[in-house]
Amino acid sequence: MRSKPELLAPAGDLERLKVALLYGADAVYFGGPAFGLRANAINFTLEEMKEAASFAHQLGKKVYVTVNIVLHNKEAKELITYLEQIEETGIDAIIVSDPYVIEMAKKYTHLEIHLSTQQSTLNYEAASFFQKEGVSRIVLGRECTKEEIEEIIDKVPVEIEVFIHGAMCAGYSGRCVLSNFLTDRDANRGGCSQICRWDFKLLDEENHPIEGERDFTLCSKDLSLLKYIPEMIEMGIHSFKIEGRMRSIYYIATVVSIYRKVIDNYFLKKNTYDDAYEKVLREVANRDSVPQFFHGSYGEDCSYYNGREEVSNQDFLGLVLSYDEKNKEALVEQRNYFKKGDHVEIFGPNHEVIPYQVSDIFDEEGNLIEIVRHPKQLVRIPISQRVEMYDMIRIVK
Amino acid sequence: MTKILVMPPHKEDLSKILKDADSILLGITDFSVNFTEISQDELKDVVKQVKKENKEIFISLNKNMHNGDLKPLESLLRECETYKVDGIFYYDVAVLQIHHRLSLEIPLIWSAEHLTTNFYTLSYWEKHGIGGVFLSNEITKQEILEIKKESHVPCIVQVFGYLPMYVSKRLAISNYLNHFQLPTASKDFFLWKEEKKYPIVERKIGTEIYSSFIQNSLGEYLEYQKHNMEYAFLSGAFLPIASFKRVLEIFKTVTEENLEESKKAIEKLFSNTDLGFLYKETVYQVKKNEK
Repeated sequence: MRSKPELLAPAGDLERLKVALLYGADAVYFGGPAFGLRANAINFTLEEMKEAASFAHQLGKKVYVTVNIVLHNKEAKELITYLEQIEETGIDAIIVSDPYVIEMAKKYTHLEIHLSTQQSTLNYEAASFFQKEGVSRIVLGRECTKEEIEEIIDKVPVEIEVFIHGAMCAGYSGRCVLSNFLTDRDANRGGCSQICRWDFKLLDEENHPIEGERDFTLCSKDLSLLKYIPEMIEMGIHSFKIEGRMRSIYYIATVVSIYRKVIDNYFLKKNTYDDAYEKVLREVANRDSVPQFFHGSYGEDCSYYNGREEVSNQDFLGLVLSYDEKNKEALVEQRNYFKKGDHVEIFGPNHEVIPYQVSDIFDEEGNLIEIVRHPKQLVRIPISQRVEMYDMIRIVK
Repeated sequence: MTKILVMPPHKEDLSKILKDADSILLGITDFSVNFTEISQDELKDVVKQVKKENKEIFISLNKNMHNGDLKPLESLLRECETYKVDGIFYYDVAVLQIHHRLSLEIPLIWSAEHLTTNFYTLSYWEKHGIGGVFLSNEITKQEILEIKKESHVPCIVQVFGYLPMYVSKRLAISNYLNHFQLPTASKDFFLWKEEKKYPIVERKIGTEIYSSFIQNSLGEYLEYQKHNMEYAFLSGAFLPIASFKRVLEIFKTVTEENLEESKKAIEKLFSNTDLGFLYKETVYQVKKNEK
C-alpha cells in the first residue's frame, strides 16, 4: 500500500495557519515579508514565521515559505540576507520559482527547496533537470494530466506535489502578464489583478462583436479533484496542495477537513466519496469546480461564463472561542448574521458534525437577544454537546 | 553592431523582408507560441533560403512541453543542428536538458518571455551553457542596459511590434463560440475592452493574447547600439507586410540626425505605438503590508 500523502494547505496569516493545521493539514505554506507571489496578502513577519514553525512542529507538522517571485536586478541583491533570515526562523522548506534562488539557497542555507508551480513543470525532462539542481520537491503545472504525472513519478526520483483544489490560472503560470499590461501590476511579482476574470467583447476580423448571452472571458472554473483522491494516492503523489492564501478561515477549515476525511478514509478502507462533501465544497467557494486537466479535458465545460456575478459566501455564522463545561455554553464570535431558530451545524477538527437549532442567545452582558447582527459580536449560546475553540458554526440550507 | 532580427508577418513574407534583416526568427508548428510558424517539413528549405542570402536563422521552440512532446522535440533539435540553424530560442528547460543529453552544439537562447528579468538569473543559465538571452518586455530600459552590461552572452531586445501577454493551453475562442453556439467564418479575432483592441490567436496548442499597442523603440534602438546590444528584434505579427517593410527600412537607416523624422514616419503608419514598460516600472505591492 502507498504511504499517506501530505495534505498541504494555504495560510494567509497565523490564525489561518492554526486553523489549517488543527483541521487536518499536514503542512501549510505562506508568504514572508518579501519575495512571495501574494504581495497583497498580509504576509508573515519573521517573528510570525518563527511562531508558525514552532506551532506546526509541536503538532509534528511542517511549514513552507514561498520565495517565488520573478526577480529583478535590484531585488536580487537582497535575496541572500533574506534567505539566511528565514532559515533562522525554523521553517521546513522554501518554495521557489526563479532558479537563481535555488542556487543561492543551496550556497548559503541548508533549506529544503521546493520548485513552485510558477515554473510550469509539465514533463519529466524538466523535472529531471531541477531534481539534479537540488530541489527535493516539484509542484507540477496544473496542466498535467494523470498519465503525465504518472510518467514523471515513474522517471524522476523527486517528490511530486499536485494541486487538488482551488482557483486556477487561466494561462500557463508565468506566461500571463495581462495584469502588467492592463493594470500596471506585475503578475509574476505578486501583483496579479486577475484580468482572466474580466469580461471582454470578442471581435471578428472586421471588428464586429461576436456576442453570446454573456461576454467573452478567460475565466476558468475552480479545480476540485475530490473524486480522484484514491487514484492520486495510488499514483504515489507525495503532496496534495490546496490553493488559496487569501481565503477565509471558514474556507480553509471546510476544505481541509473534507480532504482530511477522504484521505484518512482511504487508508481506513472506508468510503472516500460522498455527494455531501462535494456540496459543501461547492457552497464554501461559491464557484463551480471541475477536475480540469487531470483527465485531459479542458474544453468549454471548464470555462466560467458567469458574468462576474459571484456573491460572497455567508454560510459561516460564527467561530467558537471557548466552551464553558459547567454551564454548557459556547462563546461565539459572529461572522455573519444569524438568529434564534436557525438550523445550523457545528463542525470542528475533533468531532463529527453536530446538527443544532439555535435556541437562546445571550449577549456579553447576559441579556437574551434574538438576532446576532454585528460583525465580530461576542455571544453565548447554550449547547449540550461539548464544542471546542476553533470549531465553526455554519447555516444549514 | 546591433543586428536586426526579424519575424515576418507570415511565412510567405519571408522573401520580402530578407534584404533588410540580418537574422530571421521563426517558430515551428506545434512547438512554438507567439511566433510566425513554418512546418517541420519546410524547415530545411527555409534555412537554405535564408542562408543563401548570408543571413542568420533562429528557430523558436518556446512552447511549454508535455511528456508527449519530448521525443518529437529531440528529433527536431537534431534536425535544426543538421541544417545549421544558428540558434534555438527556448522557454521550457526540457529543451536545455535534451540539448545537453544529446551533446548538441547549436546555441540555445534563453527565451522565457516574461521571466528573463535580471542578470543574476541570467548568470545562472550562463553556467548551464546558454548562448544568448531574449530579454523580457516588462522591464525598464535601465534594467535592460544593466543586464546587457553584466551579460556574457548576446542579448536580444524587442524594439518593434505587438508584445505577447498571455499563453494558455485552453482553446479560449473555440470554447466561447461552442458554448454559446456562435457560428463565424472569421479567421482573426480581437478582444475589446475600454477602447483598446487586443489581438487574440488560437492555435491547436492553445491561446495567445497580445498587447493593444505596437511597441516602437526606435530612439532606444540607437541607444542599444551604443551599448553594443547584439540583436534588436522586430516582430511583424498582425502587421501588413508593406507597412512592416517600411518600418524595417526606417530602422535600417535611422540616425541621431533623422530620428524625429523617422519616428514621425512610423507614427504615420501606425496610430497605436507605445513605449511599453521601458520607462514605467510595474507595481506589485498595492497594499501596504501592515505586519
